Amino acid sequence: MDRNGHRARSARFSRQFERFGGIAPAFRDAVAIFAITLIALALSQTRAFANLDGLAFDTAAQFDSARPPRVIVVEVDPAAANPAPLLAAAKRAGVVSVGVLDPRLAQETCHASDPILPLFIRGSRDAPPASQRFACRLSPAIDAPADDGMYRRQFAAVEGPDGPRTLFETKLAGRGDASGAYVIRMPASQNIPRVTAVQLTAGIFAPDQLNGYVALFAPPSDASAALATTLDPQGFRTSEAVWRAYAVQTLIDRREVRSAPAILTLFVIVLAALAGRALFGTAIARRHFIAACIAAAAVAAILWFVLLQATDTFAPLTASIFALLVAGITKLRSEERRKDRALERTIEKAINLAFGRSVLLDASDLPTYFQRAAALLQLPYARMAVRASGTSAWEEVFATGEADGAARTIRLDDAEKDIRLTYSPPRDATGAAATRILDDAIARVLAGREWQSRLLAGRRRASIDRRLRSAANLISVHSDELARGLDALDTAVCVFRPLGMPIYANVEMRALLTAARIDPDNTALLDIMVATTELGEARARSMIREVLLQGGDLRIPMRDFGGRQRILRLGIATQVRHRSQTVLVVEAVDITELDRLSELRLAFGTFIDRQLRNDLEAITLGSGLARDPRLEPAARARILDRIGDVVARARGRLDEVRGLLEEKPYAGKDTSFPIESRKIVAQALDRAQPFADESGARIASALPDISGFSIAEPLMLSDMVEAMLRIVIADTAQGGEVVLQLEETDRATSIRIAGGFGLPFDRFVAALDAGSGEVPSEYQIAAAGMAEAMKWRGGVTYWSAPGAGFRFAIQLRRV
Amino acid sequence: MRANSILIVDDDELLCDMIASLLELEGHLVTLAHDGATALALCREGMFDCILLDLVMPRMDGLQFMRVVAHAMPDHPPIVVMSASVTATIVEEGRDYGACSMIRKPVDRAGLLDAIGQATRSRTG
Repeated sequence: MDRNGHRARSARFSRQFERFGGIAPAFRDAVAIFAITLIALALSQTRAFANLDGLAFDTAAQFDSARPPRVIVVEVDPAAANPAPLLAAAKRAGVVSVGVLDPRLAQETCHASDPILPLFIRGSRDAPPASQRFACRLSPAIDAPADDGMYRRQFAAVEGPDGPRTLFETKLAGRGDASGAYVIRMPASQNIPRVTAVQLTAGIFAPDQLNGYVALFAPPSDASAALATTLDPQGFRTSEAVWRAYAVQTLIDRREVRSAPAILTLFVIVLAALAGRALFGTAIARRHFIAACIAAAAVAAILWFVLLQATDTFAPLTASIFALLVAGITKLRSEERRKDRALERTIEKAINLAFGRSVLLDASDLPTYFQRAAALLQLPYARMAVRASGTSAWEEVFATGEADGAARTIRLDDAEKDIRLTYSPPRDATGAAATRILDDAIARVLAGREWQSRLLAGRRRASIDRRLRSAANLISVHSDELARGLDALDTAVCVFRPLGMPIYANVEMRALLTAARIDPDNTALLDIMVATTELGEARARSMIREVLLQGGDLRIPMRDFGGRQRILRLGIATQVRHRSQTVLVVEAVDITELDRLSELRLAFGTFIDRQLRNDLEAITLGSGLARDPRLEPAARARILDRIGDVVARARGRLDEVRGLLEEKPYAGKDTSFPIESRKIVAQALDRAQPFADESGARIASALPDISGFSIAEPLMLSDMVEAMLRIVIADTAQGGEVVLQLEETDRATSIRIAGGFGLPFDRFVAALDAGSGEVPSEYQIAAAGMAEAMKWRGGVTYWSAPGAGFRFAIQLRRV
Repeated sequence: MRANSILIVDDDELLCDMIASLLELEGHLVTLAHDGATALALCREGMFDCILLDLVMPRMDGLQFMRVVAHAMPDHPPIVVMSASVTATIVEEGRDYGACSMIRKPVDRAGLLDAIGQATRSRTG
């Protein structure tokens, strides 16, 4: 890939990064949370986390509190049992209902017992048929499948052909209202009494000692059957009777645990994801990642436990922790990427501002760069040849002059090409300086290219090692300082590498170059000089060369931009210790103020000359007449009176001029003095005319051929009139007319500007009062001019209405 | 010297009065106007042998007055321009509009009378 291709790729990367970086962080977070929630919810709903959640439940069960026992397991040998006294003993002890697990025992019980207690027989294939004699209630029993071998879940009812059918434990607990699946609470500390039939019939319980209890008759063999339950997750030591007893106890206590409904699951997962993004958005969490993960998971577990205990709801703990951590990790990653991007921007900025964006630009087009350098330094011979790496054919890119014995060759190879620059230094006294400048330029180009290639390396993070980061930050800071320093200058300044593109142009210079239709970033010094001054290319090149090789500085008058007069000053600045840091400084010095001072002097001079000339003439004529013997005494007296009037008038004019000069020292636009209003208004008209032409509006101007003197500050007046014209022109339809009139009366000068469609008056006033950036600058200039006009003891009136247009009237005092 | 009817056009009333006194003393008949519009109206009403015209005036300046007079009254009286602002451009424009002579202020008495004499002679001759 050639350098241009490299640059194109760089620009493309940059655009992609800008595009990605341009997405609002809140939107990125929302997208991430949505995706994470979706994944966690899907995993949760497909029971992928069921085992982990079960383990969590088992652990939590260890801390569960016990309740008073409401179930007693009675071990009954089906072969030897006599159900009648057993049931009688149970009833005497206070048992309220009996559940029978073993089919054989159930058969015996059903046939032998009076219905002195409600009996519930666990349904099975071996269960006895319903008896006409006894009220044996056969209850279906179905066990929920084990979660990974663990029995902790049971159904309260199942759907039968004729509706929901309550299961054995549910009936025994008297919870006909219960339905669906539930998790059985099995606290280790829960007491489930177990006795044998013999003990029961022997009367170990006092009457009503088991008041309200439910008895579960189970054969001893059943009591020894083993299930893996929460009580003993590692073994299989819980009998079926005990497991069902816990189920009945849970139901009686109304503490059966239900899985969280889907909407709650969604809410919990979203909350966890939000918490994860928020937590890992903090610096502390990023610094202590592992601890933060553990703490976050612990907090989630505690909240889950609180929810479990308070509402008997089995929330998706694992899915929540999953969402929390994944959201946190993705946040962490995105923060790292953001920091990487920030670092990349810092490095790019560092390169752009300090190391030399100009260098990258120059490196991207070496032939143009060195051809221009050869011309500027007037090298007697320069040649560049290129060949693709791995090939033998050299291609000449450019060649100037004739080779001589002093020629030297420099290698400028890059990854794709071998490049050779051969040149001879000038034979005159400037040869050494030219060689040094060229060598420095080559060194910078090579170094800049190295930076660029490292920056654009595929493994971006890996390529940005700590030293590079430090260097980049340092350079960036210095660059910012340089930029701030240059921006703070009250003059337009641009800094160049001796042979390359601009390193930095401050705000004022950028505005000036933009006004001159020059790209401040991609224009060589030579082109800037040609565009902004009257110099030809050869002369400009010669002047740059002179400054480069001889030092010192040069001043050239600039073209007129924005009505300001400037001098372009070109100088060289070299740090003694770092010759490679030689830069050319271009300054556009605004001399308009100097010109204004000169104008002030001229205006006062002209005023005194012209106005007092009248008075002198009158005095001269009057004194001649007064001496004329033909004059009647009365006429002579009148003439003498007139002379007195003229002298008084002349004194008044002189006093006024002195007042203007002594009132305050010259302070730019704050100073007013006698001006020829026609000249000022005509200047404003000339400046506004191109805008009117662009807008298709016609300015109907009525100016006198000659005007007298009025009091104003010419630049402010001119700016104000131009701004008012622009306001009206901008509001004038194509082909419409804008009126500009200048009239002078004995005591006042009036400038009237009218036209356009107009704004409601209140909006117009608001526009004139608006701050910077809120309205076009013309409104601000006009408003500033109005305020200044008061200081000239003049005034401005304005009016606007939709359909009637704008009206401005500037009144100036005549002298 | 033959008495001529002279119109003095100048916004400076004091100076006008002085010049009028001088010309009257020389036997001329003098009419005063302090701006171009008034002067134009007077020109349409009466016959003057010469117009003594200042350039810098309110409402209608001297050059504008000359332009209008030249257009409306091809046979207008000779015009003597007196101004402190006599530049090459103004001299050229004045000549185009029929000014027969230009006097730079301050005018001296002899110069003024001489210019008026030449102007009136050119009209009668």
